Amino acid sequence: MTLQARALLTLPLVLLSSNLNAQTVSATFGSKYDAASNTASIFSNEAKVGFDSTTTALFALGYFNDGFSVATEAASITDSASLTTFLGSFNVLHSQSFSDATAAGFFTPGNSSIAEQGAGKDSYIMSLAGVTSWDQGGTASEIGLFRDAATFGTIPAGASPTPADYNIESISYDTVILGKEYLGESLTGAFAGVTGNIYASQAIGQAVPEPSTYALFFGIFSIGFVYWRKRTSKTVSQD
Amino acid sequence: MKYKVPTLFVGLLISSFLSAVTVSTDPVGFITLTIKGTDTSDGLSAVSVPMLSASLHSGVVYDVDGQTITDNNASWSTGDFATPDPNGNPSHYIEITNHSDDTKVGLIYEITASDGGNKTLTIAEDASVLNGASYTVRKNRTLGDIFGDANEAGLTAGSSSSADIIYKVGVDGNGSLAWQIYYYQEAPIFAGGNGWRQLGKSGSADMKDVGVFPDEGLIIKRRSGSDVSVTLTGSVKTSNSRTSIQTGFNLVSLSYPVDVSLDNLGLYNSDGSLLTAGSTSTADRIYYVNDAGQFDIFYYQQAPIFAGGNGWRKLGASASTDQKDSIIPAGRSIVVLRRDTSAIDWATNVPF
Repeated sequence: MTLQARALLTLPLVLLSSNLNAQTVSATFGSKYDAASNTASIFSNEAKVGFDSTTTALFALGYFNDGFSVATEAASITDSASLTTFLGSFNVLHSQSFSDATAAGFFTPGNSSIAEQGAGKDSYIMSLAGVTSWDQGGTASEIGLFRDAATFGTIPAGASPTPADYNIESISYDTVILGKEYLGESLTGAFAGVTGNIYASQAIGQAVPEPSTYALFFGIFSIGFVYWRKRTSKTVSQD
Repeated sequence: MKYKVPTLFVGLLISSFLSAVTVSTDPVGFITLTIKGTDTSDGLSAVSVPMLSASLHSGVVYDVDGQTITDNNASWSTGDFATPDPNGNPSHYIEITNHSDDTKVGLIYEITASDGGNKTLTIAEDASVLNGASYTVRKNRTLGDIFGDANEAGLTAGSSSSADIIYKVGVDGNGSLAWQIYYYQEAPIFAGGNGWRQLGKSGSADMKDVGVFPDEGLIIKRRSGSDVSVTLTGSVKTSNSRTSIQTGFNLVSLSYPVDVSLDNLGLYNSDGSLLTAGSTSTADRIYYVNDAGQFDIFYYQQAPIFAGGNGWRKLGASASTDQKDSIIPAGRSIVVLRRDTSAIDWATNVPF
């Protein structure tokens, strides 16, 4: 065997269980572009304007405290005070302003040196409109909260010396706790020709309808929704 | 390729080009490696050892037979170059310095046996491609001669839970590649005494002669204290280098004591024969320990303009910011994550 084959190691990511060194995680999350389907996931405000340095927002990855009823508590966010309380139960692994978005709403933040925390817990991604840092979170005008079980799994344990990889950007999210999802949008502008899955935040205080409520309303508003999609899709494409 | 002149490397002093059959005088020099302390960083450093041990023999392969090469001008004795290190790994290697096939120049082979009477060396794999090649025999650098047999470098000594840690890649008890952890033990005799030790092995087993091959990197974790400087003297490599990047994590050294940019590393080209381009989740990666003692993760992005376009990118930075001029300083090592199941052949030409 050559030296290269022996020593230049096909090195599995070994998780050292000892306390020899700080265990870290590298994480990326948020937007993804899939060339095969020519589809991108995009994050926007309630008006479907993509977040960027102009339409400011914060993107955060984290997990909730044990025993915290996420759906129930999310539904009770009515103002800045209740939002602040809600955010107080959210443990942030990494947050980053959308000012680094490559196009309005397309943003994949990351951090390569996150100290191990929340291993084994379900993670969520959160958009907070109108703020650019976590300590401003309570003043956000809108909030989105999303998760995709298949992609996210659970937060991994850290590793050393190289960090454990937690790479969870996704084309779509199967759980929209706060905000709205618009799938299969035809996009223009920088995204010309690309199909967009838009994940919009919702205004603080806006009630979170129960699933049965969605079903009740669906028939009534379906025609209007199609019209609205056509009207607003151009807005998302602005960059 | 364009390289930036390093700030750490002082210079080549003597040059005597290798001839076919003689022991050569290598260019020699020194480099000072900085092992980051915790007062200014997270205490993590990744280093290369670009200063090699002196050439012990240079020659030409006159004949090959299986894993054995014959050099009619050999002057070694039986058993030379064949003493294993404390982990049972070969302590010496041959490096191909010239070959009619350029893709063989830079290859390194471990020496497992030697025969002075028959003027042969046995290497760890088939040697048939080496007929006519020029080669040099060298001994690996060791933990002892890098950091000092008695830890003259000044890393924090102590127990496995208090001493600074050196991570190296090796084979575990199951034959799998895994991180090995070394440290300088300071203990009473009944607890194993002073010396280099390996976590998981006897507290009295001396590991100062554990070899560090020239293409291997080391990662060092300081638990406390300030920066430590380690000055290495040795031979400077004057032939091209070649490193195989396997599937998974590869802790690899930079062969030459010069600063090099990502763009000039030679790890990516547009024909797809080297690192795989793509997104943060699909592209191969380069992990680099920065001056803060944290990993910067680079990858070659291939994406539409709205997603940041093509080029070297850094995880966590804007996906449209070109990182091609990011510098890997002399004396650092990198971790390369290869996702594809095929290995790639990373060739580096002499930069001076």
